[in-house]
Formats: sequence, C-alpha cells, structure tokens
Amino acid sequence: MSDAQTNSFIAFLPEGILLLGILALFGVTLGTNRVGAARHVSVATAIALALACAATFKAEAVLFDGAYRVDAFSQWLKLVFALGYLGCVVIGNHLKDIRADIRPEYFFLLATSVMGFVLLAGSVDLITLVVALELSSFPLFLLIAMRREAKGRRSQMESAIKYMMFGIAASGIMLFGMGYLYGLTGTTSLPLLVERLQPVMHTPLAITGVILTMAAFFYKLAVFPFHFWTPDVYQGASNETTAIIASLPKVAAVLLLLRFAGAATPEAQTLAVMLAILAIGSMFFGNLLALAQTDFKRLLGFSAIAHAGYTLLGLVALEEAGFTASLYYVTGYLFMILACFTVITRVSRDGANLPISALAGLHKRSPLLAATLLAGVFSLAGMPPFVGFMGKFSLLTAALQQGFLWLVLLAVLNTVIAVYYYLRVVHAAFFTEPSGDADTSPIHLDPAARVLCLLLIAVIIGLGTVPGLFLDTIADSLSSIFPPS
Amino acid sequence: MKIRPSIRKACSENPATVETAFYIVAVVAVLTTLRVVTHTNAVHALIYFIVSLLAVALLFYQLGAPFVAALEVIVYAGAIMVLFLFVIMMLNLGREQQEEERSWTRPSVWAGPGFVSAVLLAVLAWVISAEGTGPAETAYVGPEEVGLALFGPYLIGVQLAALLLLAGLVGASHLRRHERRTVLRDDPVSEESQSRAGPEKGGGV
Repeated sequence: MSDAQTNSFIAFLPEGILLLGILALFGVTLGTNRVGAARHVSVATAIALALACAATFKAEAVLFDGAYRVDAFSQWLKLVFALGYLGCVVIGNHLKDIRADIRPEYFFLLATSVMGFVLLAGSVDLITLVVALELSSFPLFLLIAMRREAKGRRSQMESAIKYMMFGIAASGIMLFGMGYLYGLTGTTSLPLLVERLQPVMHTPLAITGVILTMAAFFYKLAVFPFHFWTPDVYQGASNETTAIIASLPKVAAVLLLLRFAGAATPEAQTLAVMLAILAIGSMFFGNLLALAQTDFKRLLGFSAIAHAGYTLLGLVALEEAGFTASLYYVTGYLFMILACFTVITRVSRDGANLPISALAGLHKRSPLLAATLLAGVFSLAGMPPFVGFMGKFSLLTAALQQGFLWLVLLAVLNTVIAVYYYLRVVHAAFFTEPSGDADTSPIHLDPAARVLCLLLIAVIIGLGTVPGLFLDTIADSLSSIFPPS
Repeated sequence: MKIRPSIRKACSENPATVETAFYIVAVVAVLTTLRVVTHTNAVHALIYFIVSLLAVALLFYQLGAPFVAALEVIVYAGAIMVLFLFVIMMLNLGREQQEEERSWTRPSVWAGPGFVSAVLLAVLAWVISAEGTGPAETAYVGPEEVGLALFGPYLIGVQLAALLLLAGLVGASHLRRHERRTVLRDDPVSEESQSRAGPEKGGGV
C-alpha cells in the first residue's frame, strides 16, 4: 500500500469502525436474548468511534473522487457526534418504554442514524449529502414509532407520522432548491458550487435555490415556520428517543447551514434579513409558548425552537466569527440537552413523560441528578459559568459587530423571558417538597449513568470556562471550509 | 462525454420541434403529479403516479440519457409502483373490498391515465421517428457513463443507500411485528381497524 492509500485509509477509520459496529449490531438483532449484547456492542462502538475521531483529529484526505473530505471541520463534528452518540446510548441504557423484544433493533437503528450524521460531516457532494441526510433521519422516524403503546392511544404513531411527513416534505423542498443550484452552477460538488454561486448570489434564482435548500435544515433545527412537529414529537416519542432527536440533528443542521452559508458571504443582505426574521420568530414563539408548559419534555421542545433562533443569530452575521459562535453554541447545546434528558430518563420510573412537578424533591432523591439538572437548565438559560452563557455571549457579540443592534436587543429580551421557565424547573427540583402521594424514594444510578452525569457537568462547565480553547479549535476547523479571503 | 453526431446535427437543424416535444411531456408530468397529490383514492393516485414517472423517463430520454430513462421505466414505473398497486389490491380481502376493487377498474378511472399515456406514446413515437426531435442536449449519457459515475464519485452514495435499505428493512419488519401483536391483544373491533390501517402503512414504508 502506498503512503497516500494508507493515509486515506486511516482518515476513514471512524466511519469504518462505526460500519463494523452497525454490522455487529445487525448480527446481534438476529440472535436470541440480545438486549445486553446490543447495549454492550453499542457502548463499545461509541467509545471506539470517539477514540478514532480523536486519533484522526488532524487527518486530512479527499476520498471517493472528491465526494468526501476529511478535514478539521469534519473531524470536529465527527467527534461531537461520537460523544453525542455515546451520551445517547448511556441515556438509553434501560429503554423503559420500548418493548424488550425490539430493544436490540433500537440500538441498531440508532447506530445507523449516527452513521448518517458522521458521513454528513464529511460529505462535500450534493448527492452524498442527500443520501447521508436521509440515512440519518429515516431510522429516527422508526425509533419514534417503537415506543410502547399507551392504552387506547397511538400517540407514538402520530408523532412518528408527523415527524416523517414533515421530514419528507422538507427533503422534497430541499431537493427542489438543490435542483436550482445545480442548474445555476452545473456541478454537484459543494466547494465548486459555492465558488460558482458567489458571483450570481444576487440573482433571485440563486437566492430562491439557497433558501429552499436551507428549508430542510431549518426543519431539522426546528426554526420558527418549520417548527410544527417539535412539541408533539418531543411528547410522543419515548424519553430516550427524544434525547436523540433533540441533540444530534441540531448539530447536523448547523453543519449543513454552514456548508451552504459560505455561498452567501460576504454581502447577501436578502439572506441576512431572512435569517434575522426567522431568528426573531423562533425566539419569541419558542420562549412565549414554553412559559405555559407543564410537561418537561414539551417545555424542552419549545425551548429547542427558541434555541434554534439563538443559533441563527450567528449565521445572520454571515462572517466567520458568527459561524464560529453558532457551531460553538450548538456543540454546547448538545451537552446541555443531554444533561436534561439524562435526568428525565432516570427520574421517570416507567419511561412515561415527566411533568415538571414530578421533579419535586429531586435534590434529596438523587443529589447527582439534581446537580446535572442544574448544570443543564442553567446553561440553557444562559447563566455563567456554564457553556450557555459563553455561547450566547459570543453569538450576540458576532451579531453586534455586524451592526444588528435591534436583533441583539430582542435576543437579550428573549433570554430574560426564558429565565422564568428555566427557573421554574430548578424551583421544582430544589425548593418544592413532593406532594403526599408522590414517589420520594432515592433514585439509584448505575455506574455508567454516574459517569455520564459527571462528564456532562464537566463538559458544560469546561466549555463555558475555557471557551478560548474551543473557539480557536472551531475557528481553525471552519477555515478549512471557508478559505481565508 | 461522448457526443452522438446525428443528434447534434438534428438539434441544430430543428430546435423548435425539440422544445415542443419537451413541453408537451413536461406538462403531462406536472399535471399527472398534481393528480397524484389531489386524488383521495390511493389506487387512482398510484396509477397517475406511474404515468408521471413515464413522462419523466421520456424527459430523460430527450435530454440524452436513454439508459436512465429505461431504468426509470423498469425500476420505478415497472417494479416499485406496480408492486405498490399489487400490495394494496391484495391486502384488501373480503366481499366489500371486491366491490371496491371493481369500482377501481371502471372506465372513468383508467380513461384519464390512459389518455395521457397515449399522449406520451405519441410523443415518443414522434421523437423516435422524426428527425430533429431528438435529445435537446448534445451530451449523450449511456450505460457506461452511468456506471462510471456510480462507481466513481458516487460510490459512497451507493454504499450509503445499501445501509439505508438495511435500516428500512429492519424497520419494516419491526412495524409488521408490532401490528400483529396489537391485533392479538385487542378486541375484534380494533382488529378490524388494524387490518384496515395495514395497507396504508405498507404503502408508506
């Protein structure tokens, strides 16, 4: 084997490991008495994937005739996806609300979905990109439908069908937009497409194409006019599945938006104004409706819409500091939301949805879980020293530097609104005594969950207290997709 | 890319007829697809969908990709859609459904799709027979080019599609299992509603 071959072989190591894991999981699903095996294989795959991503962090290669690129940007995202996958697997340790005989399939489908996300990170060709995107979302449709059926209600099917119909419609719109972009540029290779798009970016056709393409990513991110599915799907899917839907696709959506946003730099005011309107709409809609929620998962669903708005703030700036802030924020968001869902899955005894009032007395039942909840929720609210604060701070700075003062003011107003409902959650967990018939027995955490809780708290604080380190890494990784002009 | 000299000659001679043929087919494709969306009966919608796919195949042919056109007819219109029709028809058993099935084959049902198919056939015959109505583009994409593209830059896409199908297969088998269990457990009334819900889901997956 020549040096170049060895090089590209090593660069493809994370994907290879994940593929082997998927095949192993498929084998496990065929056997009998398989839940434990499937769980172990999943954890092993996730750890191996994270290690492989870390090992190939500096790798660079162009594979498959230019359709797939391994660079600093893709490796950073792969590492985030790998850690998110590990978190999701540990969160889904018990799968209380999934029937025992289909739990192995759950792990298999989860791994397949992660494969889609990982490949999305490296795809630089429209066709590969679309297939990877579908690969990441189809298994999620199925995961939602796998929840155990509540008596007389098929809310899990309703959620699955809602998620699927919206998803397919979004994909259709995206393909339509991509058709325009292909017609304008005559190529499916993304770097070339972005380069050829820049001179014609002011034409209506190009703007239409880019906006239609971005519509699918907005759907994944649950941005305001594409948000309809969010609360219902969050509520209808099992707690573990919601953890997956709330975390990994958001990162993927920002990754895709960044890939296409390069076409719009430096001056594309139409796009910037559109993104600003979407950001404002999402923030207000999400935050105001979240105020009235009593179900914790539904609250997180509306809060996800608001956070999609915050993330867009960085894109509005349409320059690198903003993009860095967006990617940093969504990375942090992944860990905050995983922290919240770790608590939900462990507090809920039988896998049912968790009303906020059920958190009452959590600090006595399990101090570690209460601390995890505190870190996650305070970070979502944007309090220092957690990552949510630094994330919002860098987003607002980036938007302010580009002269979007009004946008920044509205965003700050929203942050203040949001504090109210996040504090309600903290209040329930720390300052409310459980009512008479509520479960007050201590919650026993398995070692894996303990480690996950500690790691999540560490990451949320770590990302927030030494942001310079991570922001530099992210900025470096972004310069590999936006060559310095 | 190879260029077929005869087509290039034909195009330069008579671009107007090329365009006419293209627009006729395009209109058929759009109209039939609209019918797919607006029809409330799944079987009728599927029949229109088949015609729509045939129209798209004809567009591919006119653009100089006869191999892709053939694939579109064989794989989509031929295999997948007809399979859908069979599944929907087969899953509806019982006398009531027999009546329903008879109503599907009334002339008023197939007259519309039949007519637009005839239009497509006429355009195809015209395109093949008359000089100057060949592909609008001069680039010719034959099986060789398709193969090279699939196993060159799009190799990873092909592999991914395989994985996607595997996930779909596992999911379909799980949904099926889920249904049967529900039927066994529930009372006869909901069993009926289950079996009625079945084919729709089969079409969706």
